Amino acid sequence: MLNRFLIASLAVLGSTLAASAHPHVFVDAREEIVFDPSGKMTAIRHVWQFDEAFTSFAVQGLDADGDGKLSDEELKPLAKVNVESLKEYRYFTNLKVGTKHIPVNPPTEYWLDFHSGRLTLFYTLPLRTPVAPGPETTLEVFDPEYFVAFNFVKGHQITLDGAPASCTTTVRAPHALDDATMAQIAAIPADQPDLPAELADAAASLATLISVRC
Amino acid sequence: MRRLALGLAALLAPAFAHAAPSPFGIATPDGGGTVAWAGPLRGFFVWIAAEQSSFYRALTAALSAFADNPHAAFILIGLSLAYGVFHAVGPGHGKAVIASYLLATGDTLKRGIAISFASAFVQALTAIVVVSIGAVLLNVTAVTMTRATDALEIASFALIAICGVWLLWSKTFGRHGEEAQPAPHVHDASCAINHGRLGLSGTNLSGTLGGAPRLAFTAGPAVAAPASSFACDCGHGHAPDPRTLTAPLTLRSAWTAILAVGIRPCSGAVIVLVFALSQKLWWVGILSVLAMALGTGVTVAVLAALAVKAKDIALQLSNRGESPMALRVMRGVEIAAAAGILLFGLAMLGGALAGL
Repeated sequence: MLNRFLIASLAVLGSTLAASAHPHVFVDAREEIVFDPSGKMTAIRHVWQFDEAFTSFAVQGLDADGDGKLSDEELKPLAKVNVESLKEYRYFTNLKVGTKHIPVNPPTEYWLDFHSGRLTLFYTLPLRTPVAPGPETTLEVFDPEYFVAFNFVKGHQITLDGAPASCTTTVRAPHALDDATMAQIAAIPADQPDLPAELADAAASLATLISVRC
Repeated sequence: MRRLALGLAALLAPAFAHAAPSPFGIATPDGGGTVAWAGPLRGFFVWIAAEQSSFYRALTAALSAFADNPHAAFILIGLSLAYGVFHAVGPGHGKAVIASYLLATGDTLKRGIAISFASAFVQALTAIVVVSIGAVLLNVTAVTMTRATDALEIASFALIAICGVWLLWSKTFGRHGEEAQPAPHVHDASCAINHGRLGLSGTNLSGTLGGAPRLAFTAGPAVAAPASSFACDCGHGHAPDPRTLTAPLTLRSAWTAILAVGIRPCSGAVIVLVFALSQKLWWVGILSVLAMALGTGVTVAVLAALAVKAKDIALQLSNRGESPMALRVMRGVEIAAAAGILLFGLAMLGGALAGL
């Protein structure tokens, strides 16, 4: 009886202890979808520019030779840590054809660039298997936990690389969700990658939604 | 007992497998309980989250504009204060621990407020110490600094659990069997020894009852002593003892609770400090983080006051009855609060260790 009570209370405790939402990383994002000659999508390229404050923290202690500049060599280990850590968060990336989530492989091509006080992370996520865009493809880049706030660079939200000429893109700004739904989404732990069905749609409208039609 | 604790930790481990990882491998999100997200006030907390975000951005913008505009100092301090207030209003485990601690110990309102401000300032100091050693002295990378704060976080969870064990022990098996006799309590010998020996491991806090808490800090890393020597509270009195109202207030008895909350620096404070340092505005950064702590202290003190007042009212009601039943209920509340601190500490500790 006591044991059952303990387990039950711990379960409740566990379910309510999501990491809290203090946004401390602000990203200006540009997205790219890469197509092969047959018109299938093969990869997603992320270009994420960090805010000044997070940049200064990220580059702290990296100027090993003290020349006041950050070389590619000096930035390489950080880029590696970045992409390896992002894996657990599924790269904040959700590419879907219709309603089907398209799996990606860990990036092999990635680097950091430091320019006028801001760090930019470039990385390519290869799709596990190339996939035809279908009637409707959507891409979301979003942190439901709000530790990272994504903003998309106006006019450069999405670029299609090598896509058939018939493909067009649209970008839909996040919907203003009602507070209750937003809080429900924010309460979901970061390590729970799949949102409950009833919240998935709501979450989609919280993120900037990039659509591709071919 | 130990087997039970281990069992609990094992049970919790899978649920917390990745309790607080960091998406970029640097700067771990501030972990904590977000019980409130699911509660009736969630709309309020969503608003708070939005406010936090905009204040943080305004704050970092003010910091980068600082070099050009010396008047930015006032703006920056104001923003830091506001950010501190909002940051603390959001859900977080520190406040839960302090409120539960006050419920369990029955500390007075003034002590509660002093503990709240002390924990906020200890947290600011931890951030300042981490960045002073990490960035100013050793020039380590963000990855190393994040590891240091993650270790401090684990220390914080362990301290919370230890605090819970101690409170629970003193509530159930301690000298509180004589609760029905409201005689002024006297420290026992072992308690006095603990006080004398432990102090605050490099962080001495003292306050006065009259006016604002007087905080005296001695610099130095707040490194935890071996766990075996920790004591959370020496079983201080429940109803306000007239003598404690006139004697100078010492926060020493509450130091585990204060350290437990304050030993883990906020990622935001660390980022702001490193940013200030990179702008050659180190002292401005420290000022900003101290202002944040003041703001945080205000919010935590309000919550602490609510906890103390709620208990006072309950105490008055039960005293009017003077019934043994009412006393038993009060005792139950204290034990529940102490058990809550222990369970919370174990849960977070299990999660953090599993995530290593």
